[in-house]
Amino acid sequence: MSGWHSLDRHLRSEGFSQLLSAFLLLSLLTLTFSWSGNPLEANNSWYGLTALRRGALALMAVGLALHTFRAGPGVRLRTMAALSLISLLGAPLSAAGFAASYPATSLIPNIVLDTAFAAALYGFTTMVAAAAGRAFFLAVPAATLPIAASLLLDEATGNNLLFPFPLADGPVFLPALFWTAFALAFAAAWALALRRGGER
Amino acid sequence: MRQLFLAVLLAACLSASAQETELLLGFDGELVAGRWNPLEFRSRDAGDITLTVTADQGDLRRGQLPARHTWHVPGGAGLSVLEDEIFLPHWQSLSWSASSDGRVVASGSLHPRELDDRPLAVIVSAAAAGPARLLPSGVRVVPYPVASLPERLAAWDPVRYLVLDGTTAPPAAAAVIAAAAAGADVLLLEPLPASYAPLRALAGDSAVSHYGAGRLLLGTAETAPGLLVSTNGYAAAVGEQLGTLNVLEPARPLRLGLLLPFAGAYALLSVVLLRVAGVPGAAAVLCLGIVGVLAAGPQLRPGPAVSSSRLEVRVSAGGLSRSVTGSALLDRQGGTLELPGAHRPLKPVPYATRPGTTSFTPGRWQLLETASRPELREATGGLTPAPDHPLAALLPPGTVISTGDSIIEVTPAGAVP
Repeated sequence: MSGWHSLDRHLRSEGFSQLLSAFLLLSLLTLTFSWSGNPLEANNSWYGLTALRRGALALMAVGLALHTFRAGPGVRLRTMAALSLISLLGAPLSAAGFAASYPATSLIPNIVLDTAFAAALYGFTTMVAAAAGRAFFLAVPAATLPIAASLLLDEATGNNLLFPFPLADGPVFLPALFWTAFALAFAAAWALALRRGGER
Repeated sequence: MRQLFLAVLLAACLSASAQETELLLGFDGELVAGRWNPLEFRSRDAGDITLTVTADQGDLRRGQLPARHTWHVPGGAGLSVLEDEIFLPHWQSLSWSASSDGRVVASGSLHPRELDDRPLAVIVSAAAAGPARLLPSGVRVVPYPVASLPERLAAWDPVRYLVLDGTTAPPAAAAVIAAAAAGADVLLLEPLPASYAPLRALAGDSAVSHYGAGRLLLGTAETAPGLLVSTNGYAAAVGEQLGTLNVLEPARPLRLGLLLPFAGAYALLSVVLLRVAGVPGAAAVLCLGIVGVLAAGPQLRPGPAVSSSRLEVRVSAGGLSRSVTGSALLDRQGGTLELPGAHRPLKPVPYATRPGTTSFTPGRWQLLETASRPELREATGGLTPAPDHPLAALLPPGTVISTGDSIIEVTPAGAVP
């Protein structure tokens, strides 16, 4: 079975549909509670949606990593792609919030950051869980390590270069680039392993 | 030894005079809170000076709300004079400092006890006590030298009466016109000497002549109290209504009742299409979502990040106008808003002014209402009469109100525009 068909089957699975439904439902609820129709009142839907997207996608990433860390690189790649697709399918709702909230930031780098951060966290947690063996549950607290490290580095340098939760207004180009590189590193490693004849 | 001591003493004296700097606020130090007040800064034989006046109008609940005003006074040999107007709010603390090359050369402060919002009655007379008796109560009498009378309209904002009894040299006609146009009642107390003929000609044969927002009154010691009883409060009345008149009405964003069905349909379609069609379904629904957001863009974001409304209110008479421009701004992103010219906020917020620019730092979606410094303009006319305007009910009967594109012109009762 080709990679494409495997991904297609993965996306049609019951578990993935439930994850996507829950994610979109939460996004709709956030949009409902934070929307303001009064032109003189602040519309903060973007901020709520961004917090929800990064938080929920991070939780999904950690959960999926614990579920798939024993699987081969093919499954890991498909799961990472599915996770990214969940993020992308929620992007139009995020864009609606962005348009109405007038945040002083850019939409596309934020969507890239959401997607890449979740994918990178999935890769990192999978790697830690696989390395920890029977102590795989330690991967959950370990998943906070890259986030904490990025926060510490940003605090030390006084810039927002790495931390993925810059919910205040401002540019997110550098965090988006960093987490994309982090995620692509895992994807490349798994693709390489797959090419070398690893299990799918 | 004695020669050396004298030389050192002389050098010390010269150095002291070289540092001479002086800040004069208001009329002879009398300030009116809530008004534009004249400011004069003098320095002699000094380098480039940065003058900063900071008025904090905060309180324990809101913290500091500083209004910081900065001027750069070019240095050089001789006397350097800066003249301007500064809006003084009801301050908690008012301090100023003059610094040159990073070193403070002079500073001072005013205690909140000196805060007073009673208007001034400026008397230009060799014997001010006499004319002062003619004035109604509720004003602070300030004897003032004729040579120092300002010729800028905004400097007269704190003055309700200007009394000229002819016992001094005649003031410049521009100063008298500026005072009247600003909203003051200028009383020419007869008998006046022949040198006052140009000023008397401004009044004509009438006891009351209107100029801008104020009046030029011609009377004697017997008739003056009667003329001054009826207060001419057009400038104040119109100023108080500026915030009410200049209403910002930004476009309404998309209603949630309309957004939610579409967003819900998109979410449902995403799940269904992905389950049924897999990757192509996901691609199709994502494209649909992007197209939907782009199509709804103008409704989702109905205007630019900063919405603004501008209204110029003029009080016009005798061919002159006292003009104040009100601005209402809503910055949905927050940050720094710079307005050209001198402005003051209608509600206390931190702000800063430099010559030619006023900058505010409102938070996201924080409505900012400002009023510009009053300016003298020529009355242009040509506006459409609006007898049913809401402002008419607040002004004396006979007041004529005309409106145009973002302009309201008020002509006082009995005046010619």
